[in-house]
Amino acid sequence: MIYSGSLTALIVFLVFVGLVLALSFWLGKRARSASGYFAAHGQVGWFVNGVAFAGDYLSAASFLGICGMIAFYGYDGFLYSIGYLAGWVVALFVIAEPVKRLGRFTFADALDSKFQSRGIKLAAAISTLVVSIFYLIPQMVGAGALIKPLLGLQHEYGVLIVGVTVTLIVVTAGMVSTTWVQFIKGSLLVIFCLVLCVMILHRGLHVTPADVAMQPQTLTVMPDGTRLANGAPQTRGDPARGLPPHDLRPVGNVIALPGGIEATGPLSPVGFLATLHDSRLVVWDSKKTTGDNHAVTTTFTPRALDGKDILIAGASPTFKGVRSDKLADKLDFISLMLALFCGTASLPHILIRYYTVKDAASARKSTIVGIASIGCFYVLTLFLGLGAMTSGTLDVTNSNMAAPLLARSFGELPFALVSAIAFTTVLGTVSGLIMAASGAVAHDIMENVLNIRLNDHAKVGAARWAAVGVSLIAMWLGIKFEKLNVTFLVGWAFNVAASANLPALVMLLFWSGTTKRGVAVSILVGMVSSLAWLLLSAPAYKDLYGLDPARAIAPFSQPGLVTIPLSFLTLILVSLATRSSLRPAQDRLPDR
Amino acid sequence: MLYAGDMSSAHATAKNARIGMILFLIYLAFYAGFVYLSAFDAAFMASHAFAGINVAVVYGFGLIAAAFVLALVYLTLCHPVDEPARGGPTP
Repeated sequence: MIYSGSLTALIVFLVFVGLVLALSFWLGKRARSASGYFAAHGQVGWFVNGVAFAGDYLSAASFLGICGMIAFYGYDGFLYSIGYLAGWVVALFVIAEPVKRLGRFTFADALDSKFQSRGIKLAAAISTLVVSIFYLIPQMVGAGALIKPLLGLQHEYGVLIVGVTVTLIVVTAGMVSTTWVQFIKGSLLVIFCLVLCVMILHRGLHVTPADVAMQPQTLTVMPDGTRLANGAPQTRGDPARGLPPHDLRPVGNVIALPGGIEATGPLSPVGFLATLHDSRLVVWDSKKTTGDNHAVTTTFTPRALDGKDILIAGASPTFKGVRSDKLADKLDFISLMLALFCGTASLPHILIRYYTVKDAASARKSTIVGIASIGCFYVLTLFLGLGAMTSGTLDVTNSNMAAPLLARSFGELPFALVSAIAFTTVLGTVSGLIMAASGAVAHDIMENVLNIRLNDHAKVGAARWAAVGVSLIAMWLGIKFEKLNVTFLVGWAFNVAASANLPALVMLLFWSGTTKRGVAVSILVGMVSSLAWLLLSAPAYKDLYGLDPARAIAPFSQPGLVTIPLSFLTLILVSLATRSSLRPAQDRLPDR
Repeated sequence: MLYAGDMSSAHATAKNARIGMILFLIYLAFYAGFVYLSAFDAAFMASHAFAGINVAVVYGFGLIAAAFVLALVYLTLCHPVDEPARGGPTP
């Protein structure tokens, strides 16, 4: 669809970014030392830190990706909400307090606290960098997707605006301002989504005639770049010359309500879900074909489904295997749910937030505030997504735009606010990730692995340069990977984090036979095996290489089910093989 | 040599870890049940739970609520641990 820039949205966006940067500069003056830059002096209050957890965690994938997936396929998007939140249970009950006790600045600190091994530091730092960069790509792609309707600019500009702004935030003040950015963003996101849900319920549901809602659509891109919507040139129109606009039709319709009524009026949350369950809705399938004249045509075909079919798993291409009778088809779903469960506690930008509070009790309280905020948001995602699915405003070509377009259906101001919050969402998550990555470079690799002795000032300077470098890489990849699905990329990051980091963390905490070589090798094996599996999977064949996905070597696309146990097994075997060859006092953990 | 303070701190830490592990296992069983039923018993997940809402939606909300409830239980049961503040200035 063609988007026009909105002056209201532009003003709201500039005010948001201006305020965030002003706060960042102001707080930056208070963070001069390394502990201030990396860990906010360890003195952030537990409530602020807890909401900042939500700010860190509720990324573009959560806000844009999950809402979009629910809007297009129903309950399947909600599975991501469930999996993402469940991961916090692992973080709170198993990881939070020991990590807080062990570490100082980074994930590598925590892993290495008992061994003082350069091998572990290097492996953990590489893993932090790889996971952070994989997590950064979808955030940057999300930024580019948002900028189109918000400001009417191209994808590249969205990536550059976010990249430059975040670099300024991180370089000026490090963890102090990053924490406050996350706090503001986390609060705004939850509050505004709640307001949006109330508006959805108040509006209720209404029927669109099936002969309108069930019309197929086509988008053709000619070799010279001309775009045809349903066979005619796609245009904004020109009112001065009397030319009408022509574009794809917005979608997202209910074609039958229970009892044959035309509109429900205001609904309760339970009434909304129960009414949808007994309604009939339209979902869209797409297929791309290339014609003889090299024109690429995407055909969007409507499919009418009963509400009860979109309120259980399996309506989307991602999870369709759940409805298959073959066990092999279900493995993708099981593997992804395992990766989501294990991945949260292994994400470096989440782990470093445990160092910004003063003690383990504060870490515990922070996590609980985080779970409450994040859980509240994920409950709302189901209503937001289903609200978008029935709003009649969806862009059939881009699921990531569902939440902003839903807001636009309520007026220009809600749209401007949602877009600006989505932007700060991207800003917040990206700044947290760049913090984690710059810490891995300056603190872990330069100081601990390469033994470059840096004073406090030099260390912060190195981290700032590292932040600039990581930002540039992320911006480049964000532009390069424009066409890749955001949720797919986040799934990559969770799989890699869970395979590389979680086995090492868990075994370090709970098995006294763990050795330093076991930890280092398991991180590398988990990281390399999960990356290799993902790059050899069907989605990578289709979306990255443009090859036939049937030729993919990996038997299913999500590696966690194989690579997480592989990493555990590697750690156990290497530890058993190496502990007798080294002095126990140096190499083995003391009994707990 | 361990002092009384270290002993009680170590004891509290171990106790907290045990509580965390028990609560984790309870949630794991709840989560694994959800994944199993979603993958292998779609008919049950599609059946009505209450007020016209199916089991899948209720179970999903239940998992989110359970995470918060168990987190509160954890906060209530955990023992305070005496420990030096971390994340402070470099030694």
